[in-house]
Amino acid sequence: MSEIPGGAMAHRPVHFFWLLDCSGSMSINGKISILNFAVREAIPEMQRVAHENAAAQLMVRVITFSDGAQWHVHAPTPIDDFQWSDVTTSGITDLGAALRLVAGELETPPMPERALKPVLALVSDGQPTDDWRAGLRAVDSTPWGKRAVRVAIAIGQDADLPMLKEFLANPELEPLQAHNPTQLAGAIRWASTVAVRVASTPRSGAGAGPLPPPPASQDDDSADIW
Amino acid sequence: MSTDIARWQVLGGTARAARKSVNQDRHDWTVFADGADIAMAVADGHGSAAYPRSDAGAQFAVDAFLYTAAEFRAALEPDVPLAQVKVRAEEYFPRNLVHEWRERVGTDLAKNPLREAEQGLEATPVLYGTTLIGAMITGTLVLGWQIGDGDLCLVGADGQVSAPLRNPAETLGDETDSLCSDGAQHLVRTYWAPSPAIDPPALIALSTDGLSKSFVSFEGYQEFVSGVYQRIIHDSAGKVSEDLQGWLEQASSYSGDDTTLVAAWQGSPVNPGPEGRPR
Repeated sequence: MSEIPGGAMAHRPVHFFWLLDCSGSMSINGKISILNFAVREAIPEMQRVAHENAAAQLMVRVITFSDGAQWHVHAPTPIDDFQWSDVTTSGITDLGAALRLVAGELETPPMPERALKPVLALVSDGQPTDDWRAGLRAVDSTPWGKRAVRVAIAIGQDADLPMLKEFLANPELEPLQAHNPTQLAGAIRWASTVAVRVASTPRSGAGAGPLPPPPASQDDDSADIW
Repeated sequence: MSTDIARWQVLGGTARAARKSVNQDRHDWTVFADGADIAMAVADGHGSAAYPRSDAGAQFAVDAFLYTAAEFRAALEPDVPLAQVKVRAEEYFPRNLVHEWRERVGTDLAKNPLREAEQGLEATPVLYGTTLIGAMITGTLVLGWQIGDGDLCLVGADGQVSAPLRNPAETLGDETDSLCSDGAQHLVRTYWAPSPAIDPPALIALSTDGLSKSFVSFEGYQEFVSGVYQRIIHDSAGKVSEDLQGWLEQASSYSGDDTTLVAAWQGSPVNPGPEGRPR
């Protein structure tokens, strides 16, 4: 076979965005420590899922929000190179700022037309303190934001479930609720792997493919501490 | 523009994505009037769980297109005003195409009720969801129809590549219009190019999105189409046909999707028919 004509070829990117609540309340009862542990532990699972579908190139970024929002990992980082550095807590819950920040990355450009659906994974334990709906509108107004595979994890009793459900933008989906470390680790693992698997499989048609059910650990009998 | 009538030659191939058990792409073509006219189509069945019969849907789409194109061509009497032909192409053709596809789907549904694995789904055309790109070239017209993603590319006599039906904003993230969509006939995009106002292309290529999305840029894909034409001219169509399967498999390994190409190019001219030129 002769060399294929044409330009360079490459696997299709899947951009995964963690949106992590790092407000002061996340320091209570060790939530932030468990979150750091769970995300770090999920990396090998994400790598495994990415390797299952070599045609997709999983790229990870991280936004934290508290007083405003900032990039914790700004450069799209191939999952094989991704290393976790712990996030810390302070301040309030400016989710809207985080959503506006990610919205800027969901235009084309910088997203390539050929990308697979991005994943937006939101983790929060409280009530947003800024205009989060404006942020959500910013995401929804981007071509990739409205197509994104979205998952939401609610930590503890004080999490704003209606807000998280609105973020999901799908009446068939519910936020994953984590009331103890086991549930949080399971939810993070699920978001890291199932959502990636769904997003990284080319499938045409209207709408995102359904997400498989959440982890069984949601129903575990560990004591609720959050 | 040459007064010779082009003789069209066609090649095509398809490659299944490595992770998939079934290739949901389909393609076919019809050559009319000793190569003077052609119709060709590619279809990309959606392939996910909501569309379990999309491989059949893609085949029905290709069949429905070639049937509709043959009917359209048969009605191209010399005395029909061009404006009327344009209306037929842009309005009647999409409606007839969708009707023909739904007829085939309906027949299949009647013969093959929902299987156990399909429980929970409704027995509707959604089971068969697919995209479609079709093209027809006659002695006086170059026509294209597209619903959903994929690419129709034209290589001009000057070597320039164009993609007149391209609309990337509609198909980001593999979301796409479908023959199973409500009002599908209104979602069909049409390319209309009558000659002699526009010269016929040197090559026309139809492909499913798995091919163009394997390239880093769309320009890279256009270079591929141009390269296919150059190799047909400078090497041989036989050599390109031999290599095509490997190229499509290589592309599929990058895009992760089924990958299909049909290309037609002008070969040696044919003699004009008794009416001066074939329809």
